[in-house]
Amino acid sequence: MDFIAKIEESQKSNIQEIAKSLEKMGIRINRIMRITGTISGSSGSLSLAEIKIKGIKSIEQNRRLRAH
Amino acid sequence: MALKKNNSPVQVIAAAPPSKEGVNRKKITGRLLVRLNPTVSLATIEKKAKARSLRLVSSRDLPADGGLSKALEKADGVLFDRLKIILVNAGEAGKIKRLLALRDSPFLSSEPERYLYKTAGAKRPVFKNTATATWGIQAINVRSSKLTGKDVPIAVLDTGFDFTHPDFAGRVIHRKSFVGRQAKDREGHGTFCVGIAGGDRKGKSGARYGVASGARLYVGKILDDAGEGSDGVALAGIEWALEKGCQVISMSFGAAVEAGSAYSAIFEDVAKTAMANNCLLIAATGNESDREEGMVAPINHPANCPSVMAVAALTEGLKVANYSCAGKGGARRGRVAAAGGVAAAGAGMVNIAAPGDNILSSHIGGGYAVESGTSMATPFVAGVAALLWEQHPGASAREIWDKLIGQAQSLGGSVADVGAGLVYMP
Repeated sequence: MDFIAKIEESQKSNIQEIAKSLEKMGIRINRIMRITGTISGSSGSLSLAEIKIKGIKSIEQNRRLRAH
Repeated sequence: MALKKNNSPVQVIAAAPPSKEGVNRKKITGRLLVRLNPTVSLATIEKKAKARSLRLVSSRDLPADGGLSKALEKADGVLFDRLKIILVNAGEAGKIKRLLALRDSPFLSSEPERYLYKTAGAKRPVFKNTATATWGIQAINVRSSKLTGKDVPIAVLDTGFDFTHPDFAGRVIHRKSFVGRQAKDREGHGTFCVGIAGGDRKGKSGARYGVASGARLYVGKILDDAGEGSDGVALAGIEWALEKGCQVISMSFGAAVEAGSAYSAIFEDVAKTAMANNCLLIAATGNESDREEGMVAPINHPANCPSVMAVAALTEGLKVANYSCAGKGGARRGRVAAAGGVAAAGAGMVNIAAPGDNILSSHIGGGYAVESGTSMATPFVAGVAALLWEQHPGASAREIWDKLIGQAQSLGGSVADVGAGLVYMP
């Protein structure tokens, strides 16, 4: 499942390490965005709840967007 | 004991207004409103009034059926003890003058009582494109301003841009694609939105269609050539715009949501981060409504986030457009769950409205097109935000937000449909 995640504000400086931890779980990381403290990726067979590791504030399914 | 509603001064004043219409109708009743010191007891006030032969009756003693006028036939004034106001008959001005002149007087000030009239249903103009400006440019009143959004960085996250469009010759336009190698627009939507936010006019002397022609433009292609994208790519575009120091991000895209569903906790946090970085996120409410059929759809994601400015679309008659999505009205509220972005409540509300129907702007191939949608309305607001930032260079994002809302023109319609009203430059 494609996802977006928001890092805890206090953990923004550790966003790289948090992304690495996710990768170790077999998760594909697409982008790490430092200013907004967000990560996008694909969780494979894991659920969103399973990949909400320490340092992640919230995690959501990556929605499709369309031009209005 | 609470004042009875029909004993309020406003109700009574409005009870018998003169019938003349327009500018010739009477403004002053002849009676006086006297403001009292709220810390002084009513007994003291009544005693001092009595000493000057001013006969008062309490509003609490008035009958419920419009007794104020009758009371003023028998007494000199009516004391609204909870309001700390006395309404005094014409002819008692001398007594009031003497009471006001007392040392440490509890009678603080007086002013003439005015007639109040219901606000007439103002006829709104129906705007039309002219040789000098599109209807949207006329409606938001930017032609009366010399502001151009000079050097204010605006990001338009969309399908890219036609960088060869002759109206933008000589403009430096920063670009990045997140959905392919080039930010070139092959769909047309992005070129159209960039034209509204940061364009100028058709050719050298044609109709003006753009709001902030002096802005620095940042084109982020986050929608593919079919006009589709995703949250993750949109976040990448926002991140890039913040890296570049953009102060406005125009987002004419979204995803439809179910009625009652909540906003994204992540996009809300990102919008707050953007504001902390002096940047406003402005987004389209969506086009899923069909009001003619009685169907009003909820505001799309991410415009439904409280910290994203949600823009509705208007017709040339400044009515909400048939397709424009709407909120529930009132203040935006909602609780966001810790994970999954699912909240118990809070589907967002419209903050402001802008021209959206039959809008003319730049199009791919170096030409122009006429389009309708909340997508078209959104860059009008982004452009005005840039003008405001040029005018108030030290303002915070929250202050610019407040100025956009504060100077919007009330449209008299439902707040749920049009928010504060038409985006406007006074």
